[in-house]
Amino acid sequence: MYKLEIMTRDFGKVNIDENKIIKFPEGVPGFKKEDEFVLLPLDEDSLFVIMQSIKTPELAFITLEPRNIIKDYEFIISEKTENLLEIDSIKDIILLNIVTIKEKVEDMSINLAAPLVININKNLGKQVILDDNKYPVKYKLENNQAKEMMS
Amino acid sequence: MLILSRKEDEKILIDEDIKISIVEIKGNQVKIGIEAPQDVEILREEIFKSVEKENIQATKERKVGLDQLKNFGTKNKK
Repeated sequence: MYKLEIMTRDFGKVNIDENKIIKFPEGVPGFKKEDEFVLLPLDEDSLFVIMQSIKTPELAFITLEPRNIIKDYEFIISEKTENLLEIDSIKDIILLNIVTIKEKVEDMSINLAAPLVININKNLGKQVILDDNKYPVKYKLENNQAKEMMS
Repeated sequence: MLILSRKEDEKILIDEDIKISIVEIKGNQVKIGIEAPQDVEILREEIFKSVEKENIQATKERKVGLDQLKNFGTKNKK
């Protein structure tokens, strides 16, 4: 197993296992050439996972698993995506959604319209765009939900 | 760009396996039917653009430190 030292936006220099690198064969929308990322939990207890680019130290997304935010988040994964990510079973998959934070933590929005679908066994990922208007690009936490999570 | 005029019920073939039909024209809206192989991704452009924009926004400088994020909804509380 090879170790790789990368520069990160949020944690300075970090040593990662080469086999933890997740390939995004198509890049991600807005960053077509960014095809390698690593997932770095913010800390042990945190809901947030930083998805850090391998190539570009200043490029990182704050993400979280949708089940922490809403119940019954569901969508269909197309055959094309299944093939691209070599998905054999639902157990292969983890879902992460990108968080946008501007001024205050509690005003964050979560992009539910475009989940990151990652085959954790094959280290392959894609940001899937759900073209059905069911979930918003900017999903806001309910006021009481935000307060509860802050306390 | 190729520009074609089509009437209701008329179709366009792309590469023989993508078929676009004009299903209905009503006022300023056109209903379009698309038949394409499984490996062709079809998206409304504005949805793709809004995801692009949101991704860029999400990586822009934020005014919130990571320490503040760490206190937000920890797993242990769940």
